[in-house]
Amino acid sequence: MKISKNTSFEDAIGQLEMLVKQMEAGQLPLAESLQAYESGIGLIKHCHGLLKEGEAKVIKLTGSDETGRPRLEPFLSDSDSTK
Amino acid sequence: MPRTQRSLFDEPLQVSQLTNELRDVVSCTFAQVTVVGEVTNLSIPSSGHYYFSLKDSHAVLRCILWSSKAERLKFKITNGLTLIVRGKIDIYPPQGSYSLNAEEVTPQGMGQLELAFRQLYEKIEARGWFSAEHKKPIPMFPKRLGLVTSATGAAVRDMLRILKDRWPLTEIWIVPVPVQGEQAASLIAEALYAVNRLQPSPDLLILSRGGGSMEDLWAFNEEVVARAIFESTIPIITGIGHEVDTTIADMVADLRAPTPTAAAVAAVPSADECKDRLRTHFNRLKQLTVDNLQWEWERLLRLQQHRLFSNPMQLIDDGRLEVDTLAERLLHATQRRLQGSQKELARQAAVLDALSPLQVLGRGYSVTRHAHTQQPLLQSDQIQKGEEIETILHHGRILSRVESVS
Repeated sequence: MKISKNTSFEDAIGQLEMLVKQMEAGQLPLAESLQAYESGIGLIKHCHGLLKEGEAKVIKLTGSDETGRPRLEPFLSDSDSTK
Repeated sequence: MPRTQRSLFDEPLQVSQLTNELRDVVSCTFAQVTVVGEVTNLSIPSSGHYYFSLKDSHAVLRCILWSSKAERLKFKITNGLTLIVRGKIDIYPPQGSYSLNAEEVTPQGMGQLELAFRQLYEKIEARGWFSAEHKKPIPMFPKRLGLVTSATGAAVRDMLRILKDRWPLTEIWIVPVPVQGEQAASLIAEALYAVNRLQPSPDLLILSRGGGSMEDLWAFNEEVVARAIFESTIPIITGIGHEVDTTIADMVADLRAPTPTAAAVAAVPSADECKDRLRTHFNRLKQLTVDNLQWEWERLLRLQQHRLFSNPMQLIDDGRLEVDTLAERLLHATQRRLQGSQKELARQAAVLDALSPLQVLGRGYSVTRHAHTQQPLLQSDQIQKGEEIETILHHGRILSRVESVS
């Protein structure tokens, strides 16, 4: 189980839930359970990090090119200007 | 001006003359009538004009609805429908018939939008597009969320505010569409198809519009939009109008939220709730690890308290005791074995003794042996004159020299 910067929140919390389940089943040897704890803490930190640093990106779809790739431009809503 | 007063002796009128006079009278008198009746004999030729009759229990009135007006009708005219038709009565001279030229057609007892809604509802219900089996699951953590809505107005602003507050990890794509007006339905449908074709495409869509009258929301009750929603491979959440408004689009969608803001709430998880979940996981993980360590520690303590470690000399004492016991057992076994052998020996000796030829000697017999070779003598040629013989008696022996052999 490797956590990289690109690990999505969904994957991270999924792995975390699996770890907790494994621990609850009580079949992990001590060394592995300590390792699971450490990985779990890593995953929790990663999730918190994602939530903290995440800044919702809003873009406007203006069409698509011939290969189906979307053409996007930044979306500036009036709410941004009233901040 | 119609010549209403005619004498019997006037010149006869031409048919068309009379018809035209009648036409003038009728179209002036009935230039604006409103008639209610049940539709019958409906026919729609390729011209697109609607020909039908209105009837009650005693009479029938032919009606025409020109295609230009028929196209704008939201609902479908069908036989049996009770209609209120406003228009003017006209006479068609070539057939000598009169008919009502419809200007406005409304169903009796309800608005035309309401009827149109019911008709489309029944049609789509029959196709099974509302059924739960067609509902696609909504992803819990959408990566890209498409907002198919008007890029201006309160709805999109409210949704963006909620989305940003709740969940910062989803990329939001605004897909601007007009949400009311003649073209809205087809443009919304086109946008839905276009978004489905994108590579990469959003993994969740919200189709929404702020509140408005039934007319304002009408685009969401059009069949093209219903079809586009049904055919979308991306799951769609609708948030259209206020809580009380339910459109056909809402019913075909994978999830119906009562308002645009509710749709935004339904589309993404809440970061606060996720943090709670993370906290729960953390506590659980911590508790389990502590429990696990505690258990292993107790196990270690239990082993440590074993007498093996608390009194190691015992082990040596135990060994000694065991060796002693074994030595004793060995000795006893050996003795028992020896005694057995001695008894057996005595028994065998007694048997042997009973069989011994020497027993015979007790009865007066003797054994003679060559004194030198110790061979028992059975024949006289085994010995020669001058040699010594030994005679064994019951008690004692005699040594003799041979005098003669015969």
